[in-house]
Amino acid sequence: MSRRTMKLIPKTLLAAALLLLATQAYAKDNLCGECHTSKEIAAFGNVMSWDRSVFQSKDTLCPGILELKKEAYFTESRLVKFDELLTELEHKTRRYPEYMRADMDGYAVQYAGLATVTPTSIDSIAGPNLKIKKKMHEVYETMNKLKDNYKMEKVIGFGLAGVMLILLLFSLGLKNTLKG
Amino acid sequence: MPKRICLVLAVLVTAVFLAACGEHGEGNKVDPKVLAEVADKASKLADDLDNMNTRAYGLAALGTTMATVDPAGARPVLDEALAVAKDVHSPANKAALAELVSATAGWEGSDLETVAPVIKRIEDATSRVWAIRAAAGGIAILDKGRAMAALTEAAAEAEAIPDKKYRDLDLRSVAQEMAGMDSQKATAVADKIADPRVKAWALTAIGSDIAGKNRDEAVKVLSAAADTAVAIQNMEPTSELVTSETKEDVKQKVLDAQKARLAAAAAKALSGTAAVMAGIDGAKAGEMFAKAASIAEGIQMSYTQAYAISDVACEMAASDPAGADALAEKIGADHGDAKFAAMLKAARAKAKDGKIEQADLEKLQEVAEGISDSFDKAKALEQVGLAMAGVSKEAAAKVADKIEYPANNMSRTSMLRNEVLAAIAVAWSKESDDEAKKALDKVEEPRFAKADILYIKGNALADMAGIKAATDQAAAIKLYGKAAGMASDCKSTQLQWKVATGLCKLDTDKLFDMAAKIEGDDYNKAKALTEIASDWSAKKDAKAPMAWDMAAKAASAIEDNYASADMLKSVAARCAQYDKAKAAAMFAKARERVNKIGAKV
Repeated sequence: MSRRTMKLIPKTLLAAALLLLATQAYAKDNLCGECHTSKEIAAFGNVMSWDRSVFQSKDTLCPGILELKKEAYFTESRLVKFDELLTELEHKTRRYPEYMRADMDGYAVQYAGLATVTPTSIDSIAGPNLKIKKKMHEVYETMNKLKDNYKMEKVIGFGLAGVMLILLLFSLGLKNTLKG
Repeated sequence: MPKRICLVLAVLVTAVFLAACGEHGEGNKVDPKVLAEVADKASKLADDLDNMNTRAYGLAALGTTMATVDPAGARPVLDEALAVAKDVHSPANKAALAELVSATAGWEGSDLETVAPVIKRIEDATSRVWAIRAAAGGIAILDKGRAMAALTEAAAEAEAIPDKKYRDLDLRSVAQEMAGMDSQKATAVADKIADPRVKAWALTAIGSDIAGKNRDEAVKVLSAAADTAVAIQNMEPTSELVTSETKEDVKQKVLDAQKARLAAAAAKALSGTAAVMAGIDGAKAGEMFAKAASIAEGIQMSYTQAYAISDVACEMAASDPAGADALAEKIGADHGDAKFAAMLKAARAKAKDGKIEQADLEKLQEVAEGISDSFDKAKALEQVGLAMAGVSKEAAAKVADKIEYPANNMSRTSMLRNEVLAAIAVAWSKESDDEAKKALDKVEEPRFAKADILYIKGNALADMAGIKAATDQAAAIKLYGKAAGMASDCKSTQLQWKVATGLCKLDTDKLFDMAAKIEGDDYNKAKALTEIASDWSAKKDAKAPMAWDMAAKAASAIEDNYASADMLKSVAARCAQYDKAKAAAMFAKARERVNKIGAKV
């Protein structure tokens, strides 16, 4: 290992440590009890259920409610939207990405289970939901790759057909020339 | 020649690179080692203080629950909660904060950006009083005088919180906690809140708290809350989007939008106060609602206006559903979601035995179909369909057909639509098993990837079994069996435990069999076992103590200390109704777990 590389290692480690510290700069947990009394919390009911558009909830004084509503909106709307995208992929590209659909269905079930949890803090929902969102994003990326591959195969296919046509015309021309 | 061009290009690229580095690095004057050392120290302190506050809050919540079932056991827990919460504010911690502030004085640029948020965390932890307030809330059940003393001290400390938002929020919660003991002192604390939005919220909560004990005082406090709510409109609009460089016309537009939002907040707060007043003085409540509606209707921005009117109508729904409906009608057709939210609330308020009237549901369906956002439209129709299933199964099926999200019809049947179809099947199960089966078959199962469908069907079967259990246990057990299979196939432990709960209430021998088949998920396991143990205890079944032990074991197995303690507390609170000694052991275990918060593993 060169001396320069050796010098770089502690600097990189320092940068990584600082980055780690910077990501810890938010308050932990965000418990409902930070702003609400136990009496209020007991009267909350099911805050995860849909009763109005997320846009109508945006001016609520409780940032926790807003955050939970956003989490629910984000995951649920994407679950349904990705289902649509998968079907579109199936119809347009004649590919059957069943394994991706199976993954998405699994995440939908995980989310349904999460939605039954009574939140005690923002993180009690946002933490597990983040894992679901990350996995859903992986499916989305795979879906896009599949779409791109299909496009590429289409281009290659047309290209090959074009080359074949040129060769055919060339051979016809050559044949006519030789006849003449 | 080409060599010369390459050289010039290389010099140019290097110059740009160096310039970029120079700009970025500006302000980074602190020695990286010193920066890392200070940041590490600050981060450790912030974590420790946050953990102490969480621990104090966990102990306070535990003590509050214990206070009603085991007052003697609760006292030391609440004492410890108060001591830990106060310890966060200790002179040593405040000195450590002051030291960090002075060590970083003069830092700028990215150096400051690295440490400033962590220092803010320490400042919040050492100045906020929410954990003290929570402990005092529990102490109030046992010793009102001591609780008031702690709250009075907390209120005085809260006034000095540097963060204005937290200052007001903490004063609000302290005032609300005081309300049950001394409404005048509570109102005096609420009067110190600077932001009228938070102040109106606090006064309304105090008014609500004392309404049952002192009507005249409640009217007085609520009238003050109403005046404060109206005053929200007079707040100066501000926005982070407006800077000294913002163009005048853009600035005006942003501030106008903010002004509209303040009016909406005023209308919402006033209607919230009116909703509480409705239980005391109908005429005064009517005046407040009228004023709130007039503020909302006077908003010029159409979206803000629609949501403000909807918010007022939602608050009005419980006391005056017809008035809420009439107000919701004023919302334009372009804002179907706002109109739907208000009308749903009014319809639920009018419902008899939990059933919304069909005419209301049909009206709701009409409004839902007019919602422009496809997700909100589908969710609104789902709500109508679910409610309609219990009223008219045919009409509910028609609503299900209208759920076309995603809108292009290419996707297989929407999950939301399947939920309505499953609800129709559950409704049928009260009348005919055959019809219920046929209805459930309408939730089509694809050949592959059907976990979500199995989840919906399994859930419906569990609900059907729950209904059947009262009249035909054998049939119910059969249905639970089918539901268990589906829950297992879709890998939902939450559903598996839901099924196990129902099944074990009918057949106590099934518990071990079911528990052996379900892997992981201690949260749902503890919840389900608590239900089962409660049911068995009520029936005086000899196996009940074993079920309580299993529930406590599952709750203890939850990895996160706070979540585990919270679950143990819930299990113990239920258990205390039947077995106080066992509950005391669980409470002790919960306290042990709370005290592990922040402990190094």
